[in-house]
Amino acid sequence: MLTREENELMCRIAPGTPMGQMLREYWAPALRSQALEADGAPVRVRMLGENYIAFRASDGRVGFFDEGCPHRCTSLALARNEDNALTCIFHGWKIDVSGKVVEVPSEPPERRAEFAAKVRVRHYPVREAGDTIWVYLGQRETPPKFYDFEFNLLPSNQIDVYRAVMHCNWVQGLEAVLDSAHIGLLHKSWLRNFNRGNATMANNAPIFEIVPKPYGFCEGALRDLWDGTSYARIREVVMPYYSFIPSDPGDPNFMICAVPIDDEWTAQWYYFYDPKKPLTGDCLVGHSGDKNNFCSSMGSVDNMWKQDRKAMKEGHWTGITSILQFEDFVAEESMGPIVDRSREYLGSSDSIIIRVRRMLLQAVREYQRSGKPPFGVLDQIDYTKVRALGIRFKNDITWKQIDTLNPPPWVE
Amino acid sequence: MLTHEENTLLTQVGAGTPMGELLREYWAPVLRSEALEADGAPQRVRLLGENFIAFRASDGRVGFFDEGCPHRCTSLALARNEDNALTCIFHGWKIDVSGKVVEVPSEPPERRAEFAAKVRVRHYPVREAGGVIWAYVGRREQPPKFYNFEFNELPTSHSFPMRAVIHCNWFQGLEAVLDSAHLGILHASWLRGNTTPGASTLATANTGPVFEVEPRPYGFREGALRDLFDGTCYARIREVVMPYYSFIPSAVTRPNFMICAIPIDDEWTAQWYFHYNPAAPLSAAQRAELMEGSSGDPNNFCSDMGSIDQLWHQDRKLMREGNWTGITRCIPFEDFVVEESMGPIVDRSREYLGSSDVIIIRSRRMLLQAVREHAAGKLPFGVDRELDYSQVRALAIRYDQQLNWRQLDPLRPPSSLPTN
Repeated sequence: MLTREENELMCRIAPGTPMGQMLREYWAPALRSQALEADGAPVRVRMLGENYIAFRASDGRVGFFDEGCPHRCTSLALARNEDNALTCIFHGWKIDVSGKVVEVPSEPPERRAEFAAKVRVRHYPVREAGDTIWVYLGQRETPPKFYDFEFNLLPSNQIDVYRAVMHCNWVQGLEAVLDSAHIGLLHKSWLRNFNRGNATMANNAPIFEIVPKPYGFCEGALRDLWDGTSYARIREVVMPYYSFIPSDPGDPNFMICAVPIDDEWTAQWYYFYDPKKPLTGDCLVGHSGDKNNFCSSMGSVDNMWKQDRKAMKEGHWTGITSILQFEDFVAEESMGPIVDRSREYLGSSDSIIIRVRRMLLQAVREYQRSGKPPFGVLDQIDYTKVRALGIRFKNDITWKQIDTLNPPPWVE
Repeated sequence: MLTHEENTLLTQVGAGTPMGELLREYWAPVLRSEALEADGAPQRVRLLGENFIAFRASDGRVGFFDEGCPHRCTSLALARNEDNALTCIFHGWKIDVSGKVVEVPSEPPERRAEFAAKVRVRHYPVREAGGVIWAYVGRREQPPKFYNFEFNELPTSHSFPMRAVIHCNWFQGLEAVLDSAHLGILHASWLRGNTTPGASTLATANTGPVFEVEPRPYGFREGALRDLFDGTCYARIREVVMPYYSFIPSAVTRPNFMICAIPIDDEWTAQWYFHYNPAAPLSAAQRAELMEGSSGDPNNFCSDMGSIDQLWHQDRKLMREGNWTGITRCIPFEDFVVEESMGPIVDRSREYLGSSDVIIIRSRRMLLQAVREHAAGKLPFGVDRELDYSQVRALAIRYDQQLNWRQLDPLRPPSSLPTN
């Protein structure tokens, strides 16, 4: 439970808000690489309550600007994209992919060069990695070190990236991902079909243990299976919003993050990746078919997300039958665009959520005071070691001794 | 570039806002005459952030009221229209076309007459001219003198008014019309095809015109001057009647042309296109040509233009093949699309203006000054002055540089050098 003030402080991310300023300190995934085509249509991107335009230049580079033309704010989504530049259709102002104004045909010929040199275009550094275009929207001259997450170092045939646009605040997106306790309940009808899902369901009240890390924390969700073994789901949380989630041995590795579009909308990203070999086929099926928004077919509160009451009577737990991930999204959206956390009632299974809220609130207050961004973003952290693991192991070791990059064998 | 406060002052038009109060001093076009049929369905009209109802009575007169029934605010769009009156379907209150309540059947019979006499209906003066219904929604007992614009004096056969509802603030609508510099760029593909009403290929010959301005009591007269580097000059002379009328030069063979941007509310605008020929009727073929590529509905000729959700159907394939904008239906859609793309109310603290924007800058300054003075009690542009609007006309002309554009009389111009 939070006070209203705390909830506002944590959730609001528009320009000028404390959390908005803090989140602008971090590199963030903006759109899938495949969403941009060289000399193709520029794509509107909304992040942290502001509108941007992304485009791929003739030579493959990516430009990322404020949406409005610097002249009179016409949307550059309409602009011509050619010759490694965007050209606004209104008065022909041309901005090259580096953000420099190179032509202003609406000005008198003799002063065009001088005039163009003075116009500042708000443009932002981008990186392309992990089949994703990342952007830094912060104020610093030199952006922080780019994330060397495992998947960002892989060729694109070893990763499979999905994005979903959800109608709720980013912290709701984040909290659902952090909440390990719902797995065996919300998703129970799906897990019955999975090989090792029964290990999750055998004990619905896991014990949580935490190891702090400079970038966030490592969490063990521990289920004693009463036969001398434990089932541990070891998660890595890289603040402010990355969660590396355990998968079973043999399945691709997995990361989810909740990237704020604005106060009421969130881009939920799903990264599947195999550090050793190419992935075959799609890792998610049953969704909208559009990897740029794989929940566009999910519905909304207006049609109760197409919940199937008949299937529920016949034994399906949720009646959300198209794809497991929609169960998460539906639960998150159903709380309303910004849930009022002064009205909730938390239990011991919510300890990770409570912890993360505390971390975020403390971080944003400290950031307001000191101006120093939290979670090691300005330090040279090695993110290549960050990996999650789901494992059943003999109780003669503790989960903290397990190296997630070189784990012991799964105990059947 | 404006501050946030200036931008708000310029763009907010609701009742009680400074600009809203200034704009309420003027007559405004509200509907095409053809939108109302005697004893037909009343039409909802939204103007300056308020909702009204317009209807044509049995005898042809037009009534213009607040939308809500004076009793319990049921929309009079639902009302019966008969017997030179609207009758609310809820409790049968009947209001005649002059705005007088004549029946209140929900009251006890003995006190109906007395009761009805006490109910005030907010109704407004209207005029019908040139195929358009105009209304005065201001606060003064006596409305100002009605505009004797050239087109308002013509028979309806000589004019063709068209209206488009665009999703942006009125000042974005106005600025696009004032901005002569975009012609040769935004509309380049149309001008090259030379199928344009009211424009010339000469606008593309020099995309950086020089602007000169002559103040007028009602606004200003503007010359957009393009030196053609051969001893001649191409001038587009425009008349701007504040707060929102722009008389735009058309080619010799085209009907005369005026555009105005009428605020529906803060985020929506009715962009009116008045086409008229002072000398002759407009033929059916001419009217069809003026509507070419539009939705076909002159009451909202951009109703099928699309929105930002599908980027106004912009055709990237055609752009690659050489079309400048990929907006291929008609020229006005190119204007509307760029205006809407700035967002419903553009943040003018984020722009970067150049010398081609001087008219925009001037108009903003004029309006900001007028709205501040109006709040202090001074009447704005032209109100209560005996101005003759029949002399207001635009002109496009190519002439010898020996002449000065200010000496040209648009009603009796010298013959133009070839402009195509």
